[in-house]
Amino acid sequence: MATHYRPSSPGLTMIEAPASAARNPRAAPKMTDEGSDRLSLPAGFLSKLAHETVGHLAAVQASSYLLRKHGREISGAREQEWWSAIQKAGSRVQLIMDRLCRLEHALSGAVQPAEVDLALFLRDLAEQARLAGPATEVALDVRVRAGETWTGDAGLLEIATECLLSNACKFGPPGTVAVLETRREGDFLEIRVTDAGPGLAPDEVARLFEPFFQGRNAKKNGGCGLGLAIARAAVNRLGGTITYQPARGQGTEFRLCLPAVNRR
Amino acid sequence: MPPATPPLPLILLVEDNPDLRALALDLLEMSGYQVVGADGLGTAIAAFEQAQPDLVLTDVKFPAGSGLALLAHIRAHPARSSTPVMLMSGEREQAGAIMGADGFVQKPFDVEALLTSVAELIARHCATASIEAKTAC
Repeated sequence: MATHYRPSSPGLTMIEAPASAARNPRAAPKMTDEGSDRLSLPAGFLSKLAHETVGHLAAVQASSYLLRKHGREISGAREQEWWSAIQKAGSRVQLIMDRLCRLEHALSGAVQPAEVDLALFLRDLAEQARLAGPATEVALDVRVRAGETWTGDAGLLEIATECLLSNACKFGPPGTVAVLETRREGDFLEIRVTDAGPGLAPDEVARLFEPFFQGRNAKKNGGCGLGLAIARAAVNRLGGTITYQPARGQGTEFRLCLPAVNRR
Repeated sequence: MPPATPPLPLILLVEDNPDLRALALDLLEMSGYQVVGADGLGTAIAAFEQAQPDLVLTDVKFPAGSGLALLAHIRAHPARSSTPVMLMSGEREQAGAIMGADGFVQKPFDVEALLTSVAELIARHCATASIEAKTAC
């Protein structure tokens, strides 16, 4: 009988004791520490993390100085902009911290394989993404056969899928439909997420899974550029692959290809 | 006829974080400077050529290029190689890497200290430029 795992609520992911990650010959080199069973951070990650975080802290310092020194001489609208900048910087740092916890889990958290009812699991995840996302009125159509199951670590599957659904909600134009569908291909499960968003410029595709990289179209939609890097780490841990291609017409299509049974 | 008011000193501000760039722009403008903003090496070089700033205040790291590449471009400039350049970074940069810069500030920065350094560098540059060209900065 399939166990119904509900995705964890948004917020911090619990970090469990590190466990040896399974070797994965298809893991992307940037996330793999050669000669070790543990996956590791890509080169330069901490430096980029410091750059991003310190930039937000500097924004807080500049805003608070402006408010203290010039708050009485300027219009209410300008004052609101400075307060908003503090709030936004705080939210970004909080998001980065949340993503770091997820990354830690994706790289080295304990793996707990179990049977997952995919239809229930993915519908719950889609609903959470819709509620958490901006009010862009993007509908999520989850096409999963009732009773379909997958065996593996539900936490890692959530990390891998949540970012794709969240991005579909953030970047899809109002009134469009993003589609999540599953398909069996031999011993593999394919999860495909397609949206009608602006997509990526050709020169951005190679850097898509790089930590802290944000495409030009993504920068105005918030986020911190860690979601896809973390999704890839989780997929690597599950022994699968994640690929991107432009959707037909306009938009993006991401495919997760996971072993149908992953007991590692 | 009243004497013409000298133009405000001009700062080229290079920062890839759009929020921080907007705030730093407000900060400098409200402190009595004109400011031109740029988000990367290409736009910074174009602005440097066009605007002829009295000071360049630049982040060290940005996605395309770096503040150090901008510094090298300025120091090799045939006409304005002495333009003061102040670097900003979230990390402690190695002394060798920032050699040639006129100032360095670590982010997140003390705003008062930053403004003091900016004022000193501009005053020094304007004094030198005034002696050389016999014109007010």
